[in-house]
Amino acid sequence: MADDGVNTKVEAVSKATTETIELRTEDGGVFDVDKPVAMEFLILKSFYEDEGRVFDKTSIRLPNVKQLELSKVIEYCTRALEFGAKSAAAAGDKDAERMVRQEREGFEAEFVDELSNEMLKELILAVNFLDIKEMLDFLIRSVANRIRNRSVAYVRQFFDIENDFTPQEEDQIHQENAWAFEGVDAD
Amino acid sequence: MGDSSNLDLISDLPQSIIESILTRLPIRDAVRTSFLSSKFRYRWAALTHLVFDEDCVPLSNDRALFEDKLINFITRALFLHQGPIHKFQLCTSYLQSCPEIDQWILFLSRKDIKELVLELGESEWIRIPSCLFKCNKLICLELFRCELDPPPTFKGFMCLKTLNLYQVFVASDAIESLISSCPLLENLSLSYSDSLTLNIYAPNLKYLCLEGEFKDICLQNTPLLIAMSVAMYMTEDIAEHMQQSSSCNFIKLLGSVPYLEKLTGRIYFTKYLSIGDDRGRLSVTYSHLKIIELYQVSFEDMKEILVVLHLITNSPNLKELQISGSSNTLAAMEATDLDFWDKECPSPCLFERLKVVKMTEMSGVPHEMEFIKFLLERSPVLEVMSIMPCPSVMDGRLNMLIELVRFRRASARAEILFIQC
Repeated sequence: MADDGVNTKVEAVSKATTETIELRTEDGGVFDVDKPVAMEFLILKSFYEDEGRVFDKTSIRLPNVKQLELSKVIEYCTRALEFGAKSAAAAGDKDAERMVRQEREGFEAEFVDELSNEMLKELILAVNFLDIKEMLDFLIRSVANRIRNRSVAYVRQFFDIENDFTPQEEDQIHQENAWAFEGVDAD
Repeated sequence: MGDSSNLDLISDLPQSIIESILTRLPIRDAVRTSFLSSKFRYRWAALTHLVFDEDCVPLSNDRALFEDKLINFITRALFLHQGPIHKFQLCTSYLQSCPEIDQWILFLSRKDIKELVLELGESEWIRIPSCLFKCNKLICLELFRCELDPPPTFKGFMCLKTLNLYQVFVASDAIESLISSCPLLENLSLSYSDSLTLNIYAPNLKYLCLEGEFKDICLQNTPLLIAMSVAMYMTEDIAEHMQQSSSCNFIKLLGSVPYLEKLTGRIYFTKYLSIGDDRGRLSVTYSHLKIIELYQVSFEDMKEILVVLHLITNSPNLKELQISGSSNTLAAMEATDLDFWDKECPSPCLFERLKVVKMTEMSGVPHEMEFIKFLLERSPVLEVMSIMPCPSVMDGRLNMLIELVRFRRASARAEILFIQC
């Protein structure tokens, strides 16, 4: 299997008996995704359920998603489903439940550590488009963790926000919100 | 390379995502986003979830100054806020009763508040102002350490589903009528509001948690109850007083909960249940009861173990049983009437679904061992019987093991785990 090129075909979760669906990203990536994972994307789920279509191996184009993001999404959703199954199996056994929880936390910490700020933002947009509630929640938490206790300048730079205030307006806001800025250092 | 135009990736995200991000930030950080850009200036002010604690303002050694700053912070935040507030939470031990709290609650009552959590410092409990009772959209109310006195005109919270009161000073009839006037109530937790006499009328109640010293509890109308957890503290004279009355506590508490799935009892729970006249057998079957956990069960009190027996023989679908003992070994070692178990429970009675039994704090006294023997003989699908001796019992362990090994097992799959500690 070739790595990191255009038209990379990625096999997600090798189970020969599972149905798969082919997803094409806007930059030419092609992914074979297992049905259970694909059904986590509510945008796909409603496509199949609303239209009453049979789940055959048609190819679906995802116009707003690039291949790097999709591969990350597939990775997360696949593991999330696995953890869900492990959790269910461990139900009632407090030690086993704790172990699954810790394993999941470890995976999530590693997953998000590897993401640059840019990647995190792109993933949020992709996941929002694909409508994957659990992963969106996870990403939102991660963003909040990254900007918590940071200076305004840092947060602006993080989100690429342009400061469109005039100096007078900035003064005004400062007056208005001085009570929230006490004791804050830069970055 | 991508285009060099400044792709502002956040300002155009749906409001719901931005709100989710801002909600997960400490409120101080959320307010500071007003500085980011003109689009962001008042975004924080539309947040519907506001959570305050002592981290909102920088620490200070001057206690009074710190309190003032915190009060100022909250007041300003509320004043600048726009739109509805669905959740307001204030948890800090640094604030005591102060007049501003009344104003905040008045303000919230005008903002469609749905969830209110108030936990303040211990030294001076606040008196909840009557405007709280005008918050008619409340779905969840959690109060810690305060005085509650609903006005006589109060008709109830029509939307309230969850009520948690922790160390709340309230009169028995006030809390009774509060509960009964919340028709949608599903979760109720009452902790350490001492000396209450309670008649609980809650037709939609599913989860009940009671902790503390109650004079009397009666579940008058809780037909949908799924799980109950009771930690019953009792003083000697309350127990005395109860013995005098002829009502049966078992029936009052467990007489009409046919859908109960999980029962947890602590401290003096089984003793409480054993008090009162139990003329004739109870005819309630707990067909949904799957998990029973009873702590501090005194195996030398015949009435208490009769309660245990009664519970398990009336729960045909019981899957998991956990019993923690608390036997005064001296008295318990002289136990008589050891064929009690077989006498009270004639042959055909089997625990056909019982899979897991955990016995903890076992002292090895005769009735405990007889009970374990009884369970092993009558549980054909048992998978695990785990026994944890009391840490203070060292000498008796070998004898316990010797007895255990002899017991017949109805289930060929049953594992007996003796857990050393």
